Amino acid sequence: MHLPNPYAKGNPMRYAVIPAILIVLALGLIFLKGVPTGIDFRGGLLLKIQTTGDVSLDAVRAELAPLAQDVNVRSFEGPGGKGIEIELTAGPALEEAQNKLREARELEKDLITAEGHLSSLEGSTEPDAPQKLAEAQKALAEKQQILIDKVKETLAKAGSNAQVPSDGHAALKLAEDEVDKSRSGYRDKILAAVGKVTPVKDYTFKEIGSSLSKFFFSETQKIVLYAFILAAIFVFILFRSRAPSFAVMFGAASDIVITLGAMSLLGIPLTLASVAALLMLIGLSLDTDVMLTMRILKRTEGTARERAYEAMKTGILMNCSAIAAFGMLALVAAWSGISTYWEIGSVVVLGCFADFVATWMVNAPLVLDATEKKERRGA
Amino acid sequence: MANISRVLADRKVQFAIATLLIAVCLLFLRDGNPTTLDVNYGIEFIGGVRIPVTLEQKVDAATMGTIVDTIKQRINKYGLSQSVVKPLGDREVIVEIPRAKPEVIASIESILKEQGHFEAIIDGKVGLRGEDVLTQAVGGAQGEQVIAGDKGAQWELDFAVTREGGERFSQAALGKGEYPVYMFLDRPANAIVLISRAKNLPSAVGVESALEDSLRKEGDALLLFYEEDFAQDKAAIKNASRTIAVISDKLKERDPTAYKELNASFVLRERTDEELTPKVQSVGGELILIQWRGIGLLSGPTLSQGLANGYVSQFYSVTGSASGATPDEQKQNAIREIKELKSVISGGRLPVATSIGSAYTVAAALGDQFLVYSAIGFVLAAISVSILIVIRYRQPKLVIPIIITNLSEVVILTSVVGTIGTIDLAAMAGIITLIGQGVNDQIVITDEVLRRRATGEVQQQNKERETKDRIGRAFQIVVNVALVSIITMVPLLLSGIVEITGFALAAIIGVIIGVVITRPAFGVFIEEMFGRSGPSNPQQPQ
Repeated sequence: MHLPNPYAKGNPMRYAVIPAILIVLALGLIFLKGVPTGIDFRGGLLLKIQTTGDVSLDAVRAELAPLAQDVNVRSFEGPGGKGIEIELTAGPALEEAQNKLREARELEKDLITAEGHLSSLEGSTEPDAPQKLAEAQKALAEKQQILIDKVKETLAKAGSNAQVPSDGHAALKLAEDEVDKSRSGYRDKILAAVGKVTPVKDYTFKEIGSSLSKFFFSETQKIVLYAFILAAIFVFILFRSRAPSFAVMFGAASDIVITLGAMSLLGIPLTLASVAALLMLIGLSLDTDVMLTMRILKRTEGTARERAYEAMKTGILMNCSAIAAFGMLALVAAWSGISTYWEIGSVVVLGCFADFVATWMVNAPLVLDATEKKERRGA
Repeated sequence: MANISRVLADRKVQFAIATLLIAVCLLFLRDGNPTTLDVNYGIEFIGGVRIPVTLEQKVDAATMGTIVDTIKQRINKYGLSQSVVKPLGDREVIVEIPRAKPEVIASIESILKEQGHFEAIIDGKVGLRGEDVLTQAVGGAQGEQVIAGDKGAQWELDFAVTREGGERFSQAALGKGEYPVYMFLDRPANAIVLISRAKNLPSAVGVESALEDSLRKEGDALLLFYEEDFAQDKAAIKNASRTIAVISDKLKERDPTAYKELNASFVLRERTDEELTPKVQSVGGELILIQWRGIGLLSGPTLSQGLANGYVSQFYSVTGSASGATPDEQKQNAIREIKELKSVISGGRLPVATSIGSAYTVAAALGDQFLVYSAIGFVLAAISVSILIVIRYRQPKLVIPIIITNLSEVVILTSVVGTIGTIDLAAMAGIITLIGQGVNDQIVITDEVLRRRATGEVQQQNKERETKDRIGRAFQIVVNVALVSIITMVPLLLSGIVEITGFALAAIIGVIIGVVITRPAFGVFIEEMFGRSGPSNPQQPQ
């Protein structure tokens, strides 16, 4: 396989049209179609079960439908046997119950304040004490009622029909218990529903609550941002010159954008694992970019265009080897149903293709252009 | 391959081999049994449960420390001692229990809700019980204060109780001004207490009667005996018809016969001598107990006259003063005392409400399968990369150093991560992908060396120096790329998100191992193969 030097003639910047189109397409996909998110960022429940025979996915779906807002069932088959994977989003009721419970806790504080006010008046001998006392008692009764109403709302959301006591404090305690019960009961209900269709023996069960998923989401945004800033600082220190640093960082950013677009197209979800893979792409993308830039900038043999061509040959092999290794990871994942491997493997494979486009069609021309200008000035 | 001895003589190669040997030893010999792989596996591979516990509100580092410690203690009490408890951010605590079944989630839930039994006893009468206390109204922003003074820091803690509790307290307190209010957490019921005069009794006049006073409770007084008098009190102890005996954990050594006899007829609660030694204080010329941890007496404030006149109040404040060498130390002690008392009054509950909205369970059988799949993934990745290298360079012998380098990197990495961290799915993914990344560097090095042979117009005598030069340049690229890879993974590593930090850890350590240990050795290999005495008519890469 002999590749001609694509940089031999003409303005190499003409190649940039292809990545430009890809980036526009990717951005369109990201913003119009959106990148799917896994339960890590959306909250929900992932259940993977080993099964002995064929399982009707529709039957599983039908059993789970009343329990969840959104059910996704798929089967996989690996050397360890057959299995099904169920991903579902819990209905909003439980989370609403938890929010109501939180509000009820706040209301109890109001009630305590009202009780404090009342008890401070009880020993009072001032002339207007009886009137104040009556007012305070009325206020207290109101607070009590508000709290009890809130507890009733909480119980309704939690699906409990327990008798609410007339004392606010006791009512709150009941609400706490009932919400807990309904939360742990949910897990059992899901397992029982699946158990009607197929025996559930060995399983993995992953449940991400809404607050944890929100935490993961905000935290990973920060992580990606920091990683990018740190990489940019390092690249700038390495090259001490604006054009190549910019080119390298642009390469990494467009790599991620194109990959996200491809994820949106292929329905690969954004999860903690795939975000880690995206971060790895910054490294992999800089890998070829740094190699290219150092070879063009810091070497002297041949013309800049020849050096770019040599670098490209090395770079393609680098991308291919990464594709081979990560592709195998993705392959094993598709076969065994290990989603962490699938998310990392497939994202890096996509990223390597994107990196190829971004590095050799944008970056190389940019650096070439800058180098040739400098050489002309120097000559 | 006559030059193999020269390769082996190189320092870089020797260093790599030595590291590899150490790694292999760590992998197989850590537990003395060479047939097993001794790494810390994550729950994905051995089965188990991971439960992130969400706190209702953000907490500071100190409170987080208290929460983590409390959860750890309680979990250990349940015999789940292999568990790991660690904070995540300022609102989450991760509880991980290897090899556990999903049913354990329910016990963790109850462990978190668990609370001790609080009692405030005045003159033998129960004034307050745990259920009387409104836990949301113990301390808090307005309910705690510390004022620095000349004689130490003064502190105050406010709390509120239910109406019912207020009434009970006012009855118990009626006419008992200046009496101590003994605050207990988990006071043993139906029990005797056996202490040693020599070891546990403070030397002060009237201390024995002060002790007796603190043991009183209507219908359930604790009986105090001394180790020194055990022989003569034996009958009295038996006739007391109690079920629990609080004893020293040293009794077994100090008096084996007494221990044996007690063990036969009582449920033993062993406490340290320090816990069994009461702390006393002289108040108005009278000696009172302020702490006796062995029986759960954690605080003994004095009842103010204002509370002893029969009025029902739902609001109380406890005041005290903390000593210390410097005002700052006094303040810290005061804060500590408030925190302790707060935990007593709220029945040892966690300082903030918690909830379990998430859990992750892996059955052990599936964990084994995951391990097999990972091994398959690893082998396939290594094979496919090797095939690629052979196709590209048309030099099958190149495969040998590349495979050796790869394998060594993976072995060293697995051993390091498995020793200092945990091999979970994410870390395993990081280890497998090291193959792809590691080969990249080897390609950079090989290309540099082979490229000069393509242009090959250098004099023979310069050849050697030139090769070294090129490897040096290739390393410049390798090192820079390695630094970038490390830098981009650092934020992920520091995030503490258990699910994925393994990946970052494996990626970072893998890169370091590659750059420092194995790839320099690979450079030497390549140098020997192509730089010094390679075939006179080299095959040119296409």
